[in-house]
Amino acid sequence: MYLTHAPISAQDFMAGFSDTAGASVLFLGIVRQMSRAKQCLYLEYEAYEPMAERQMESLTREASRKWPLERTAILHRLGRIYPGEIAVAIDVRSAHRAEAYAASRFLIEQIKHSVPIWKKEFFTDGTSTWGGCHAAEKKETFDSKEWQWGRERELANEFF
Amino acid sequence: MGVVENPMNVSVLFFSGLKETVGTARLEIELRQPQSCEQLVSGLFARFENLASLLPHCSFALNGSIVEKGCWITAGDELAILPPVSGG
Repeated sequence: MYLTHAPISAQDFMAGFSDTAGASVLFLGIVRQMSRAKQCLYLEYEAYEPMAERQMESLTREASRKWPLERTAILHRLGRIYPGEIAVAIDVRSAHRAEAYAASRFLIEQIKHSVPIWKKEFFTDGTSTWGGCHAAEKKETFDSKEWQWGRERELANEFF
Repeated sequence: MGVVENPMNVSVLFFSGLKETVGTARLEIELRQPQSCEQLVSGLFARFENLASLLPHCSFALNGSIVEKGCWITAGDELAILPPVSGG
């Protein structure tokens, strides 16, 4: 299960797994108070749920082919979420940190760009807008080549 | 390409801003002749003036899998029109 309508607890999300992996990278996407100079009241997320579930399943498999991972978990919140709450949680575990960091970054970028989930932002001034509708919206860029396994291996050889 | 003798039933799903503009999350449509995703959606969007400009930015999924816009629709298909995503 990759989607939930219930609040996400980081503690619960991380619990219940054996800690044999040497590295665990937890990414939490948190609802920001300010969005494009406006104050956010809350967000509402919706998804094409069956397709989103299947795509996130497929992304975890893809990550496991790119990097030697011991465990990958993704949980994305749906419904109304307030600033400070967790919108998405990703936990990646592997023997060494380089793979876990790389896979975590890969997963959040893929989720943002390809999984059918949408958010509507509601502001304190009474206005609202659907995310993704702003051509001018600043996107954090991600160069996937930089995070290829080969590059990570070099870093790993250097530092581990 | 001839006229289909039995109309094909197709479900069309709308999300986010599209859903609000169209006023429903789901439309059940009877196709009387074969159509591609793009043909069907162009016809639908023509009825909603402010949607036509969104079409080039949308992706199509047939039964939960992304397809090319020119993909033909068959009876019983579920066509989802996906605006640019904004999850995460």
